Amino acid sequence: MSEFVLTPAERILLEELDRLGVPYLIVGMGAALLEGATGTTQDLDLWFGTIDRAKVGEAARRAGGFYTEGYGQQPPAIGGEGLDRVDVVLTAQGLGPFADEHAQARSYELDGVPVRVLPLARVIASKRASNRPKDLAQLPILEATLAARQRRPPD
Amino acid sequence: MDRSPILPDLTDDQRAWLLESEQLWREAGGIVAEQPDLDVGDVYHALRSLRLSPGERLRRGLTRVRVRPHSR
Repeated sequence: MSEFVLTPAERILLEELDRLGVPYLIVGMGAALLEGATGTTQDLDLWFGTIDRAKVGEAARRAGGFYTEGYGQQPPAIGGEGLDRVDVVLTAQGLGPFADEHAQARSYELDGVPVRVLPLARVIASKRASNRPKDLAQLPILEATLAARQRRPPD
Repeated sequence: MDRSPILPDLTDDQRAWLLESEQLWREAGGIVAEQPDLDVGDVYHALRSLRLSPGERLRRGLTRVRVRPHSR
């Protein structure tokens, strides 16, 4: 049996964001995992510098879901079947302007879909700046991974 | 392949895994010698993870179960 990383809806969403020219970065622990960290996460955090509502909404629609700017306590989100792991991130602590971070991002392919990913060193900077206990708790593993990466050729 | 008595009763695959793993522990130890604030086990597992494809790394770390299995 084939084992894919993404759900079909997630794959379509990322393909359509790419096709529609919507820049985004995979950040947070998802980025750290792609960069080689061990550990776990429940979410795929997508950082958008600014949200183009029409384009993000269209990408979500083509993936079978929808985009909402938020409602009550609900922050902006992409919802729908197979999209529940996707979190929309609009502000990222400890990082530079989105355009600068995007320019220095790393490129990977997930199930054949090209994605841009925040480098591990920048994930660490962001988590350190957030100063949340759950982020600080992940730092030892991320620092160990960064040290290990420095002994390996780039992916 | 090392067939010394210190690795008795192992198949070739098991012996290869053990020798490779020991090499990673050795490499992790070298890294920690330079950066003592790191945990040698964390570095070892990071070195192991770096042998996987990026997609496989993410697949192993994403814990939320998909709504339904899928295929292409």
